[in-house]
Amino acid sequence: MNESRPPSKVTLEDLLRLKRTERPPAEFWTQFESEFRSRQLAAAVERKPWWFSLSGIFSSIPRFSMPVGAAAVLAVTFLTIRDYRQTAIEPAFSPALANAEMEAPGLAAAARQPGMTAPEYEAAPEVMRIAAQPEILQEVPAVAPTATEASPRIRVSELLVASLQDQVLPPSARSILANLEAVQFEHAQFLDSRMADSRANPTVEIAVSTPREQLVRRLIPENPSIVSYTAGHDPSVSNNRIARTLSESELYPAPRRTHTNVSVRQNGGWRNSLGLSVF
Amino acid sequence: MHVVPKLLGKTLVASPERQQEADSDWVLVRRVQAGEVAAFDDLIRKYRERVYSVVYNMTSNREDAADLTQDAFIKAFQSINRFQGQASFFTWLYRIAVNSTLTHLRKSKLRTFFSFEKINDEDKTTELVEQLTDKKGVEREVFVKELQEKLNEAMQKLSIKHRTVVTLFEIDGLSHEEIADVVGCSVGTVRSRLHYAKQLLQSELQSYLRP
Repeated sequence: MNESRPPSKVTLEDLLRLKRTERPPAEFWTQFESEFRSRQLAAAVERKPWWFSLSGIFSSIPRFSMPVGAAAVLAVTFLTIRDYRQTAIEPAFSPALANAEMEAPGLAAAARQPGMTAPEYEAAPEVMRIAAQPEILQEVPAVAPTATEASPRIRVSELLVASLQDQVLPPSARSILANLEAVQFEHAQFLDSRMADSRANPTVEIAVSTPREQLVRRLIPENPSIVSYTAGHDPSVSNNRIARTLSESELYPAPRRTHTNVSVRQNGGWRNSLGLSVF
Repeated sequence: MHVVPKLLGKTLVASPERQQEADSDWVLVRRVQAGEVAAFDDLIRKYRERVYSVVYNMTSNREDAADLTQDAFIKAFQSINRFQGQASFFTWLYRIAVNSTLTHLRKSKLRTFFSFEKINDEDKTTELVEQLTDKKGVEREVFVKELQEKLNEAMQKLSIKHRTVVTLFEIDGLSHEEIADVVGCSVGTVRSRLHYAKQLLQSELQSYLRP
């Protein structure tokens, strides 16, 4: 700065006071008023989105009510889910394992193997306890007859036992089988009546197919006419070739999912199926 | 007869003048709430310069300041039915203006343009400028312009929060309690922000200060 300044005191507050004098001229306010009028009119005509009214609702709620309410909703949700899991999984899985245990001793030990970490397997000790009760041991064969009896009903428990012993199926598929067994166990009479028509031909086949197999089966029929273009040509060769050329992306559109399907083949056709998708 | 709340929420009305002002504002607000839209014009005329000053000193841009001031008044008009008198009207209006400005500044952090109002040559200003320089005529104008730029530059070096507090306290003359109410923080926070901001401004404007 220059050398000729008078040596009087100048503080920061004095300098900031200068900023108070930075004011617009009078004509600015005339223009301001007219602009404001037009904007006010435009704002009055403009239709507001519905969520604008939410601010009014929430502003009337005391400050601490919102977190308390949110915590209460979370707690109720958690308790509901926990109770649902307990009531939904245990009754379905326990009788199935109990039934299987009767046919394959050491089932609970297999169920406690390292790979079986799904929550439903936590019920294995409870299953053993229930299975050990004499009334259960007596009841189960009466309600769910074995495959050697006249009923052609599918013995899912056999498959379950086999899968547990051989470790062929993934835990999710075993869980589905267990649930199927539970359904059989609970609705034995209903299933018997529904399957009365198939008693004449008791040929029953159970197939557990992978998603790839299901999709290939759907895309390429068993006896396609379109691929048998040459006399003496084996359609299965073409089918296999097409199945090989189908890329994974064509077979599995996004999002990827794991799907296990259990189908029941009866009288030459696929009759019943139960699928479980895990995203 | 309208009931005028004497203690306006947690706002500490600093002086009898402020209390009187708050009472008269409340009467106008009740008239607007009753459907008399013209009463809002009185409120605009009363506060437009102060609101503009706050916004202008926060943004250092006269066009943005004009837009944001209009926005603040429109928002206030749209939600005046929800105003229950828990705070004084001017605190409520300042809060709307400051929040709009803060949102604007956060959005336009990367594209900052300055455009200044002219410093009015009032008696107090003249006195101050005479203390700072003995130049006359054009040289004096150049000096004032340079000083203004330095001041705004220093203000812009502050963070948004610190700038808001300095503007409300040093330029608009609000008390610590009123600033705390407008900004939504404690009085202690206001004091600490003010102290830090002043230290920074002092170091920036050292060449113009004389102890």
